Amino acid sequence: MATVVPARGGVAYRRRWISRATIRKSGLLGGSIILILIVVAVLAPLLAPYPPNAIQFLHTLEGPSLAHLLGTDYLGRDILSRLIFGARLSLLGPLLVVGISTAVGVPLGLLGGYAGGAVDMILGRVYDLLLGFPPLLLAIAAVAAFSPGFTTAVLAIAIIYVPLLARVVRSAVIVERNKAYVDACKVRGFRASRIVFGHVLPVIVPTIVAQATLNFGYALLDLAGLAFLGLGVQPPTADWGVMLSEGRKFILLAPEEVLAASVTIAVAVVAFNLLGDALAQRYSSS
Amino acid sequence: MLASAMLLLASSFVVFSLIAIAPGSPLQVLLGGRKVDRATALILEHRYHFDKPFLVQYGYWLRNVVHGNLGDSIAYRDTVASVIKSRVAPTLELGLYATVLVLVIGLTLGVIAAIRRGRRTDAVASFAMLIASSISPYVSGILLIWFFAVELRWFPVFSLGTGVSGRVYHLTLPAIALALGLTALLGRVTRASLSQALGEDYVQTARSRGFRERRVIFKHAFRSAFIPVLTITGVIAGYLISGAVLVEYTFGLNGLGSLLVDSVQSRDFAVVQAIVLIFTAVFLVINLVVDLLYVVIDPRTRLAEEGS
Repeated sequence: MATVVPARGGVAYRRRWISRATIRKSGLLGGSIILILIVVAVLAPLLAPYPPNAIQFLHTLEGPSLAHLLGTDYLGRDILSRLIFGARLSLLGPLLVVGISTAVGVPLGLLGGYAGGAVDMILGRVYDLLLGFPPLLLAIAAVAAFSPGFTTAVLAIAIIYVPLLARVVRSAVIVERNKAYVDACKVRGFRASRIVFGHVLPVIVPTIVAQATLNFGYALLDLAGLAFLGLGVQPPTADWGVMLSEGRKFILLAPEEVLAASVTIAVAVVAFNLLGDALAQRYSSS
Repeated sequence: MLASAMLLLASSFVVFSLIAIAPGSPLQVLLGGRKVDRATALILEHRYHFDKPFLVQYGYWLRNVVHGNLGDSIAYRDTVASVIKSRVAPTLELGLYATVLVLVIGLTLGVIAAIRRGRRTDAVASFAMLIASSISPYVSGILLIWFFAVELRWFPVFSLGTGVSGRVYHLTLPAIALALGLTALLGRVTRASLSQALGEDYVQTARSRGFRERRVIFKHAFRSAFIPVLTITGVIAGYLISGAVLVEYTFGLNGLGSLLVDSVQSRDFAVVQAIVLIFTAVFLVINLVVDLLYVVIDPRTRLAEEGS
């Protein structure tokens, strides 16, 4: 990759090359962390030392010990086990958000970018409206209208990620639209749908993947934030946001749960950011 | 100006429409599942015009909102306006405190990193900003409470304090929690755009004319570097608002944000509508100011607007 970058004076060239390698390494680090998290989520029943909801009233709010490596929460549940089982919903939520927003946002972005004109303008106004709310607030209002829970939270967050992704796709399509290969397709008499899905979409897939990876991290934060406010996944389900919410009440007595959940969420989000940045960097230069 | 007004009108319609999309009748949504007898229900239905068509309902509601009548809070048995009024101050103070931190520290870090580009100062600052910009205010809030309030006992855990100095002291941890990620975001954007501007030909020209480095950076390079910084400021405003909701809840501050969360939990829908509307209006006004500042800073946008 880096070798094809034309050299523009020794120092500038070398400096860019170094930062590129660093970005690639941090992307690998992020990817490895994500892989570990996925394995943990899938193999949760094998890895967790206790069931996530095994209550032990004789062992509440205990510090780390050999029996409970990260201690226990206010109901005597093993924090490590809840963290491991929590990975399932905490990763499934953002996965659904990214899936829904991709399924809706990519076609809308392709349509607006390729068709242009009135269609593009109307879509743009709708995005402006959805993004005119401060982030999370529309989701909070939606939770108020429906009822708090995993499904409401996922749908409410997904609605906000549709315009975000659609805009990225739209600008990528506008760049591609004026390139020679699109003209060549037109000359050969291909239909617009064939040009867009068969020729333009494959070119911008890397851009979509990079943006979706970044969005995964942000959606994870948003969903954990909603659960933390008591507006997302509800207790006693094992979920990182729920652990934050429950652990916060005992931060003075036993900070283990809230610290473990905070650090896990922070590490997961940084991992998705590193990978997303590396992917964006890699494909923007090619 | 007109576009912002239209956008605000459209968002008010979305906020109002939620009551119609929500499961159950509008009255049930407004009452949040509380039971009332038939006569009261009829009175309320008439008062809120639920017996009229949807758009007429919206018209009445909008007229009331414009007149400062935001409806009644079911949980507090008071008007929404007076419930909200008592909660504005902490949110405003927290927001201003955090804004000052974001602007002062974010711009400073970004400028330093850009000037020292490629050196160790830049590497350390950039890495710290990369990590910090991935951290959400509730995570940083919890970590700050644990470290500075529980372990070190430098700051109080959950309270607002009295007097000006007490207020500043008590709001310090929440403001840092709110500002941390956004400071890093502003710093990263400032670094990127300023270091790009510093490589441009006109900056070299200014240097070769013998202007002092300070003047080159702040007068010549910063002017064009400021456009992306301004753009991200509009984005940051939104995160400050939604971050304030999370931070107030984390630190137990009695502001508008924690009132919003309480109201969603107690299904006090009129209060939720009002707070979402206020926050959205503030967000749109800030973005309007940002749009106006573009014109002040970049004469090209002025010409473009006159041309169209």
